[in-house]
Amino acid sequence: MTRDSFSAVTGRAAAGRIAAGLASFLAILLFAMPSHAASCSGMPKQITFANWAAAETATAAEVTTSVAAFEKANPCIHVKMIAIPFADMVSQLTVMTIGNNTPDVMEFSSGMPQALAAEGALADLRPFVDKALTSDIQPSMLQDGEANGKLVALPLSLTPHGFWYNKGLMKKAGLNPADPPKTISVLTHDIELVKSKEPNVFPFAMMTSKGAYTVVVMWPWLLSARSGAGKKSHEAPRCSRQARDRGDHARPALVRAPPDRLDGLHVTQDPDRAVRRSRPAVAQDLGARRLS
Amino acid sequence: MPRIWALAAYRDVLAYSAFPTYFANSVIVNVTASLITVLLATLAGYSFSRFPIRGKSALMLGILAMQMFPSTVLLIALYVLFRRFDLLNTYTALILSYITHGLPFSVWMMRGFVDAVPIQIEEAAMIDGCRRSGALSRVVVPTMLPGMVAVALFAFLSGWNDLIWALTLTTSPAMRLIPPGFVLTYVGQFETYWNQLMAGSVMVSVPTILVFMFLQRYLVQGLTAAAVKG
Repeated sequence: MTRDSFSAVTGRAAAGRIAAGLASFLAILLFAMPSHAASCSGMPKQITFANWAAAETATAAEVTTSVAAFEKANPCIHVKMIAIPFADMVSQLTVMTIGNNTPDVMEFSSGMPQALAAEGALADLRPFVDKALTSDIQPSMLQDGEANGKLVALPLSLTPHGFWYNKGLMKKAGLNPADPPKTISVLTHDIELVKSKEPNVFPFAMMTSKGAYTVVVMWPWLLSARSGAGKKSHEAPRCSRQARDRGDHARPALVRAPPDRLDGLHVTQDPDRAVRRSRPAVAQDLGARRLS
Repeated sequence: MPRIWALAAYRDVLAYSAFPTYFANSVIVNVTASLITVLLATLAGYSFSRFPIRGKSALMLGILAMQMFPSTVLLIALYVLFRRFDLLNTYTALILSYITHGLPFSVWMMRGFVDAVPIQIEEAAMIDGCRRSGALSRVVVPTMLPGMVAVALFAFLSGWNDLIWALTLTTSPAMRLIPPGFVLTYVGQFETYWNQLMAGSVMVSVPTILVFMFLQRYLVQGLTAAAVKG
């Protein structure tokens, strides 16, 4: 399990507003939907929520439903969504911060809280967050939301990562599609089997298009898995902050790694290029759906 | 070549996205901005060409220098300004920003076009009873119409293809223009919907292709006139 998204709260809002917004927002997203609706005597207070999830096809419905439920449960608060593309999140929030127009709540991914905290855009959440909540979150995940000794972001969701596999290809290679690999050693064995029977097929593919994300999540997992680390499911291998800072240099080095380290997984060249030149056997999302 | 030919992506763009809204917004903003840019650039170009202005060269250089600033530098300043005047999320902000972006180059182009129109024609019109405004509108403007079309097209296209200004100055879905609308809808954190993105791009290209087809003659004439003086 890897922490993928954060919510963070701006530093410009008043403390009460932050507390109300954050506590209620997290309550709705992290715990349970309240079953009863309250009423509001005055005009609802508006909080702005900058995110990319509400604009994307895959996540829009869930986020819109969650926010609608939140507003129903908290009729004194109206959430105004600000959709920003994922790739432009930091630059747009930086401009908004400079323009003294920082959103009240923001969705972040890895590294973003620290970038925005450096702009002075984020409030310390510790005074407003229930200890029961923080004690329920893995310490390493909380640490990723810290900047300059402040807790500026909290995990919004946990994103499990898994394999998509091609049943037709497995059948063709003499493997049982109903019993996919469950350990790295079996996976390695099956990959080698597929490769021996279908030399033109790349039996294993992983996302490499999002550089920083890949370095933080994918490559450490792959290397740890190969070296036998992270055997327990809750000990998902992670990159240290220092390693993340070195991320830009780490990936090419890994791609050029000697065959004895990665050869078992047939990642002997840049997977991006390999996939572009040939139809991938297993790919993320669209490719996997198309092939299955 | 595609293995399967289908129009499903076009249907998705038209039926299941806010493309019509983005398209309408883009047309409103860019047509208005280009018309105002042409009007202002024509008047400024005419003034710089015909009137003795103290420090004319320095002013023209100053206008040119404005074109050299990276747009991101202007972006933050304009964002702060528009927020102060409560203009964010309005057509006004987008139109003003595109005029700001396109005007310096347009003034330079229009000055070149006016320079190319012999002043004697204008003087003859004034001898025949025209005021200066009449000579401008009845004699100079028709003569340099190709140049004005070229400037209008330049202003239109620079706004039509812009992402960063439109993305920054608008946050409401109802105010989005085509480029940010497409990025928000089809380019996700983990997935890019290439089919719909390409289908939308084709549809977005059609108006510009049509405009070029019909106005190509004017555009070539205008650009040539600006390049060759006398």
